[in-house]
Amino acid sequence: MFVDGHLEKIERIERQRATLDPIADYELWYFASLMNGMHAMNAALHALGATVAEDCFAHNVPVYVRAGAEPGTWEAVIRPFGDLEHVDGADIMAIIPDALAPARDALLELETVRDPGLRGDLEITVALASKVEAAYGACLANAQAVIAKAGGDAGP
Amino acid sequence: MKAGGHRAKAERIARSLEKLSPEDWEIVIDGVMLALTHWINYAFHSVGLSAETDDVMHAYFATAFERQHWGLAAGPEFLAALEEIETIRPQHVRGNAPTGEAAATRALAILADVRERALAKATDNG
Repeated sequence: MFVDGHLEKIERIERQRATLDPIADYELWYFASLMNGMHAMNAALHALGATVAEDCFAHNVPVYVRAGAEPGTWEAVIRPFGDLEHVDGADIMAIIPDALAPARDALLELETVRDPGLRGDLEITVALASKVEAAYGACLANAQAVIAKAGGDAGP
Repeated sequence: MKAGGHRAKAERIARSLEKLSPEDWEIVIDGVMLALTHWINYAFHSVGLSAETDDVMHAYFATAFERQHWGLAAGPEFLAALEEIETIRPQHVRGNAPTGEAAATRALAILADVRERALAKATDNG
């Protein structure tokens, strides 16, 4: 996507996140936090020209899907790094600039509780929700500052 | 996770989904995907089809053998449902393709069907 698309997503998902309780609805609230953190990171990476902004949607990167020739159809394609799904792997870490280190570290912290909290028996506590909230806030603050400084899409 | 734990997680997520509507398609679709995996694991663990230490996470992680085995033993609908949700995630959860609301409506219908199948499967096998 392009920077504006990610920013619109962040607004939409933030509204959804606000309707959810961090404890009672932890699983969906966490999903919203991680999802929005990645949208913010992707927007910032596009703004810095570190990844490609285009109408392709991530599906097990480097596999992306994009609109097919016929309306309503989709095709899978291999593309250079555009939108990322997670911050993991040496090749992805290598393209994240130092300016986004706080957002990267916050996303890595969110990832540590992803499977235990969503798929496992990790106890859902106020302390856990506070940890997620803090990482979420740190990620968005850093990424949004980078986007504001860069002024939008860096272009292909 | 034990079968009962999966069912409890799936039912928790269902309660959370009631706070959203198809207009909130990003979280609805991702929530459905997660709930589906819990219902599938509940069914598979309940009938001894998979171990408590071997949870289904994504359909695209399943081997050809697992697909055949699980399909014959439990019906192909479980993995097919998860696969359909995974197919619409890139466009509507990560991307900004149109028709997200319709996709979320479809996702909720898939979840309702898999829930019924999982409960029936577990009950059939005691």
